[in-house]
Amino acid sequence: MNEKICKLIVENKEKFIPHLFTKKQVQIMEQWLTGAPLTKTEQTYLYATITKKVDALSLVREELYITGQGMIPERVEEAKKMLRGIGKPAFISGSFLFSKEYNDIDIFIIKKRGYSETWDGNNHLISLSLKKLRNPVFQSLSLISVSTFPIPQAIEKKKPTLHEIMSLYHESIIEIMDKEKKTEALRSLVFKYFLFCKDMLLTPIELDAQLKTIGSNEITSLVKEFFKKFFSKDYLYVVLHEYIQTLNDTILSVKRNEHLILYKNAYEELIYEKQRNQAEVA
Amino acid sequence: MKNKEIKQKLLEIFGEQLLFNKDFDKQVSKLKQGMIDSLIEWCIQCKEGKELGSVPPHKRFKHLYVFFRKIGNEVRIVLIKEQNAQFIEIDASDHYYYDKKREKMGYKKSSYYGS
Repeated sequence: MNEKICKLIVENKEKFIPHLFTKKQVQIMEQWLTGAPLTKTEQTYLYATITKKVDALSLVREELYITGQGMIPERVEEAKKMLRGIGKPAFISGSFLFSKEYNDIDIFIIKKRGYSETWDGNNHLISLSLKKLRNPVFQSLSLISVSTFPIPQAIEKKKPTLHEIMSLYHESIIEIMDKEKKTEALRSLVFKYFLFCKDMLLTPIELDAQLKTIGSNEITSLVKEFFKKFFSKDYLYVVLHEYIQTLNDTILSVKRNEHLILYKNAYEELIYEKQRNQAEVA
Repeated sequence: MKNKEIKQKLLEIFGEQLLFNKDFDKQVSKLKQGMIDSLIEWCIQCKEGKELGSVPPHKRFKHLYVFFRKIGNEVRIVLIKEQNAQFIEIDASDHYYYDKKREKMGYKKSSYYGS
């Protein structure tokens, strides 16, 4: 039963009694909302009669917000049906709306506080607060979405640390070399690059398009640009110089080391090239 | 395959020194047989040096070599080796503890949405 509609009815009971609901029906709704115990008779009444009336009303009141271009019309209709059953502020986004093939259906449900992700069959349920919605990832998703409420366009950017970009870079290269289907690190890195270096919030469709053409050379160039823009030469030198020493040892100790060599070359070009240039100038 | 058998198999692959995290049994019990077989095969590949691992960004853990694996939607594996030495730990966890482990070693949180 649609909780939102129930609350509306209880809060405005004088408008609904006696025209659409009896006093007893509204009283049972109130008990249900507050979690107060119901007798067996009241429970039967709730599910046999009251729920049907409330569900019918929720169809009438339906208000959906469809944002963005490039969605598959049949999927939009499916999304609308799914959202009707939720009864809370919610939206559906992701590849389900615009891609022939998709992994699961991402359903975002707004709650007062906290964050959680669960799976129910094919449905990936993400519960988040309005504050969390300001995260650029969710703001991007809202650009192509079907929603039961107008999603606030307010973004809160937080510059990633050097270690975060390094770890994303390393894992992106591994995802590319392993030809992984789900390239989470790569996706995150490209998204952050455009957000912070190009000041562009990519839509999910734009991000997918970028990922289709990107390889290890492009990712390496992108990471170097990121580092140069956001971190000082001295800081880069201190962190990367030490990391390169670690990589030198690891390269000798592991069999598959082509990815480590790639990182080492990239970091050396970044910091030692600069050092060489400064030495030449001096 | 039962959890005890899985652990025994992993001890055979990596040695008796291998440690398991607290939630290992709980997470592994969610896996279907095919996923378990695939996990064991991947562990063998890691042992044989055929998988790509990484050195943690945090300098406190630079003596380690770490392998990550995603199994289905919910289960995440972290396999840790000491460089030029043995495999020391295997963790099977949900996203929350996986991200905590990663953060500790200097990696970014993994979940696309939660990070």
